[in-house]
Amino acid sequence: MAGYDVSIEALANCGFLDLRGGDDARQACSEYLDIVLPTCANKLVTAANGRIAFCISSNHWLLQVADGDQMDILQSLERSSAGVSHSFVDVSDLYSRIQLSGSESRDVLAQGVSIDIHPRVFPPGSTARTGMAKTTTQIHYVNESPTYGILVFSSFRQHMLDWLAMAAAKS
Amino acid sequence: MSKQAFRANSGGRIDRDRPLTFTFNGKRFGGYAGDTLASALIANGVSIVGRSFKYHRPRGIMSAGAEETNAFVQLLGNDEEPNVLATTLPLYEGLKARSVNAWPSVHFDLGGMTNFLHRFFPAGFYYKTFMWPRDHWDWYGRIIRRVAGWGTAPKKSARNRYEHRFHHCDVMVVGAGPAGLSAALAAGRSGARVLLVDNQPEAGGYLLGGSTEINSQPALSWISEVVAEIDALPDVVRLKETSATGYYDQNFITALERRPDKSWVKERLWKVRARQVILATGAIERPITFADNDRPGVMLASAASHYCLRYGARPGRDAVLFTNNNGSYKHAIELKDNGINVAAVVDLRPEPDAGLVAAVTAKGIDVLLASQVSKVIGVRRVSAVEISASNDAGERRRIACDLLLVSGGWNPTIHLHSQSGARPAYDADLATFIPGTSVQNEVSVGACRGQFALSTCLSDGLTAGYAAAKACGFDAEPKNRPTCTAEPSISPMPIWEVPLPKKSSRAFLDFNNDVTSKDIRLAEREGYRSIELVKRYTTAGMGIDQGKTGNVNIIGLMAQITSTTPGAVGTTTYRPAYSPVSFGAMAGADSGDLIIPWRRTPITDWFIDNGGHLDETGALFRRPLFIAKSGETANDAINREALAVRNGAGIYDGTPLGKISIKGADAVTFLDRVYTNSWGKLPVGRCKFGYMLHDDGRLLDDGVTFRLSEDHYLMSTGSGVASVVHKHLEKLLHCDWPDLDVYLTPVSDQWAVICVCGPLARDVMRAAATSIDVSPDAFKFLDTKYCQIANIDARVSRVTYTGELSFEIVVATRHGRELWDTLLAAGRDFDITPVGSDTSMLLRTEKAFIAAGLEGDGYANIYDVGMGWVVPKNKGDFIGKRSTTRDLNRGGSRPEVVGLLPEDDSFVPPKGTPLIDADQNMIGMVTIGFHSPNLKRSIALAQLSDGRSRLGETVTLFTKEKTASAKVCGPVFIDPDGLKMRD
Amino acid sequence: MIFIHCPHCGDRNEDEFAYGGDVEHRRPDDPDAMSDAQWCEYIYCVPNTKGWAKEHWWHVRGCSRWILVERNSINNELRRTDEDSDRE
Repeated sequence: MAGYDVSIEALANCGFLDLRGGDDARQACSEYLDIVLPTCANKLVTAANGRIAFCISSNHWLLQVADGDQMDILQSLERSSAGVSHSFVDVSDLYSRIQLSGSESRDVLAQGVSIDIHPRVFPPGSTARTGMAKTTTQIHYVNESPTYGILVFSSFRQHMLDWLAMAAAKS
Repeated sequence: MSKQAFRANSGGRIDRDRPLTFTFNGKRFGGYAGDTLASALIANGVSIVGRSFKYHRPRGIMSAGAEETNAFVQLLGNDEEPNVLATTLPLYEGLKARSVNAWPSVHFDLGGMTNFLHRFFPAGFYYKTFMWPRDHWDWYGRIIRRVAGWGTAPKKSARNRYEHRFHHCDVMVVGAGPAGLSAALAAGRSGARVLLVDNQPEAGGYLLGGSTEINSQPALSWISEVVAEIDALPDVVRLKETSATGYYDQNFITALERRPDKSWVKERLWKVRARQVILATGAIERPITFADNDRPGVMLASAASHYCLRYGARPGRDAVLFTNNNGSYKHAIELKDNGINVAAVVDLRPEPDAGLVAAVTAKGIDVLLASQVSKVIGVRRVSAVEISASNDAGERRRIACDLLLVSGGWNPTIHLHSQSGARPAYDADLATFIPGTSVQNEVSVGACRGQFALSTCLSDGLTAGYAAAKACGFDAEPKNRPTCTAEPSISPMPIWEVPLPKKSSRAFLDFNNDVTSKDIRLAEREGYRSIELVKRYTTAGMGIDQGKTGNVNIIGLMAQITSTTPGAVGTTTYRPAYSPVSFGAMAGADSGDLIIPWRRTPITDWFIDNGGHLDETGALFRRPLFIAKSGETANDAINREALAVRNGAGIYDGTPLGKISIKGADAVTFLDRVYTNSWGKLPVGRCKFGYMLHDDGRLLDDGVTFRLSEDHYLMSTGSGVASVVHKHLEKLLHCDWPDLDVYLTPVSDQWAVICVCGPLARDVMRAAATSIDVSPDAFKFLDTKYCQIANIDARVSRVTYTGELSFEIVVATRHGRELWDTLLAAGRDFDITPVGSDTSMLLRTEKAFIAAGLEGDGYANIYDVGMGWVVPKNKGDFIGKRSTTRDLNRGGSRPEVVGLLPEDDSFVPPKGTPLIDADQNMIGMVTIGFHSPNLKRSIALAQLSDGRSRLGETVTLFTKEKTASAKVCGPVFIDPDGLKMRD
Repeated sequence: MIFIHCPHCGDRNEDEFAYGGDVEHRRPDDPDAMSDAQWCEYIYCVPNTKGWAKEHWWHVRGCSRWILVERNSINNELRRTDEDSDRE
């Protein structure tokens, strides 16, 4: 029997870099990436080439790039930030990506996400790092169809898929 | 199936075109869609719905709502559920229920014996009687549980889905009566996000069962207009059959929705965070305390009216109303107009509102002023009432009736307000408690703040709804205030107990727990003055109904007995939940395996497919304790695995190890401060063990830290303490040493870790096409090398957790399984053996590698566990340093870690076994014991007082089954010089 | 479930945070200069203030920052501080 009108999909790996640093590092990164890294937590910017920078807090970003690009970008960023306080770490395998879409996506998410995801306060393009189903997630409201991206630490990937299947089920 | 003899021919909000059948106590009845179980039972003339908790007195339906104190039933069938309120349970086709507390039946109840023996069951009876003889409690307990108690827990697990739902709103309105609807409308019109919850299947509150008018139209048409408008607002959510059950900090409110919109969801627990809360929870009519006031047929006046008007169900044929206030006169008229003969209104007051008296008299109803009901006649049903003057003087007279309506005033439903942390205040005019000063963003409107007039409820709601929305930034002044006729104020005359006619008479205050006015008097005589103590001693207010009808009467009586005011007595603490919440709803849908967010490594699936015995091993991982071949026992498997590691090759999934990236100009300084050892001289590309203490000197963790580049380190931590270590380091960095240029990034899941260990490990590495030279001279103990293994990028280190030659291979998580398969294939010729964590624990025990949490428990310091060598002589401050110097100063005997060799070499002492000396003093404790297949005998580690000076001595092990002797030895059982791991 | 204001993420449920102790309970700068008694006082006598106290909280399931929260331990009333825990 069908449950909520949603589909749950595990997506392929992406390249991810964890970027930390002050204003100097942020500027150096922004210049190299041609993305202005936001300084406000729970914001994101999407570049023309599809790269996404999630702002975790004012000195902390998660950069999502095409898989395979991460090491080159990491090395270039290291060069651009030489002598500046920073920490850039490859975390491509730290995160797993899951996509939730369908007309009742919000009904499923609201079973496990305690933050307000009403479109008035969490419109398309929003992101937030928060708890969900007893673990940490980075939620991204991708588009109005509606589609949500869910990042989880990779050891929790199967748990989150099982949890979403449970939350979407009719039993 | 019998005819519904007490159903009016027309009227009510039931759907007479949809007849339903149901079964109660084995008998089939008919009802209609729109009925509750209670209204259907009334329509069928069922007057006894259960037996009382302690005395097993027959009881009938007393109210028409969530305050019901008698009509709890056991719902049967697939939906079996104990203690369901018949008054709020909508009737459905095929409903099956039975009474609780009745054995063998409601009509012949053996437990009713306690009723005749009641003087032997006073307040505090359990405390007084069953305390002696003490060891008989089990025996008493079995009997008590048979006779007492409510419904029975279902044996089958719930098949239904229970769901949780987080929700945020600007304004939450609790209650959809006139005040709540007005509030929701005013707030909703402004554009605010509104959540309106109500515990009834349809909105309207008490107006559903009344004959009131708004704007000169029946109130019901006003309700449908308002509901239609509210439901059309896009940002208003209206939940039916939803009770707000708890009010917590920062406007966090739980609400239980029964039978939600999705047909497959049975109950949904809403967890609401509201910016503003409007409580429109109404009021509960108060019973009056007089002799035998609990007989079936005694009902709250408003409830009787409600059954008549809302359901067309007549709770009796001949009624008497006993009241102390103006609010209930209208019910006498409503009942009279709906076919019930109301013989008399008995009013305690000498001078009630003259208009009301005239109106009632005009209907042919006698009004007896300054009078009271002193006694009820009839056991299984009221048959008459005895009336006396309120000063108890003069003649008593009897009036025959089968329905006694009572109204002792109204108690505002202040439960949620009180749960929010506010203190209720006593209002002498209303003789009840009303909301006090709000302490959260919360306001009470209408009847629940003691404003009972409909016009006030409506305007209160509009004003509060507007104000709440405005506080959230929405502004839309309400227009078109509705009008309705004025009502006299209710003006109750407080009465806390009608004097009892006989010494043996009983008047009930808490029907649910069978607490009488005598119990309260007894408690006071025995010295219980605080209302909180009276409550606990008598159990008054502690039943399933949580004293919704009884509590104020108890407080009032207590005030009367102690000659003070109810305000001075005060209320007991109101606690969640307002109405019962099922365990299913608390648990939600994520039951079974989803209760814990289990983590997986890339190898978990392989273990599941290959005999791995998975169990929780910390950090939310389920790891294999051992990997059994078919037919093997746990011991067989552990022995085989342990022999393989010492003599051949083993392979172990170390992925759960915690990993933290430490980067920054001050990384070395940071490491020096958090580890006992020094890090400046560690070359890039090397690693070493670090020892981390708590500031109180206990061992927090030991693990290997790699230097990846000049200012970049990768720390590994024990898997179980990974999150503890991370928090410890984060706190030091941010709160104590924010000046350090260091960034911590937890990267545990980035890397898969696989260990190949044993004397043949080198051969396995070569066979697996490792791109570097792994010979002893080229790749030394504690070296780290980057290489490729079968074309997978890897970082390999020579570190060990078993004491054997080991290679720890770290690859990106996505390659973990591929590497595992490659190594298994490469090791096939060497009989490579996958090893579980029980085996790993055995191997570390043989080597006495200290485990934080076992040998290194909350009492043991670093010297006790034999690791004093990690404390450097000449190093600046580091975490734990000051405590180690204090420990050295302390002197006295310490629990030191030693090895034990039991004399009976097949006896494995269990963890926790005490060690005793000749005088039977406890001198230590076994921390872990094993049968070591490598030594072909049992071994153990223990904490032993002054253990290191007792080497060679014999101690006694004391277990439940037997005592045994063991020889004390140094803790390292295998390769004490560590030659194998350095090979 | 208290609702803690994180200066970076806004109001979030308590279960996203880890409690980090009373701000007043600072690790001494020079433990070696302390007597055993003073050191034990610091280690074992952890403040448990009745009423208002300033506390460290770690937003571990959010921005990962350490923040300061003023909380009244009697009724869980909270006051916004909008400060990070990093000492000046």
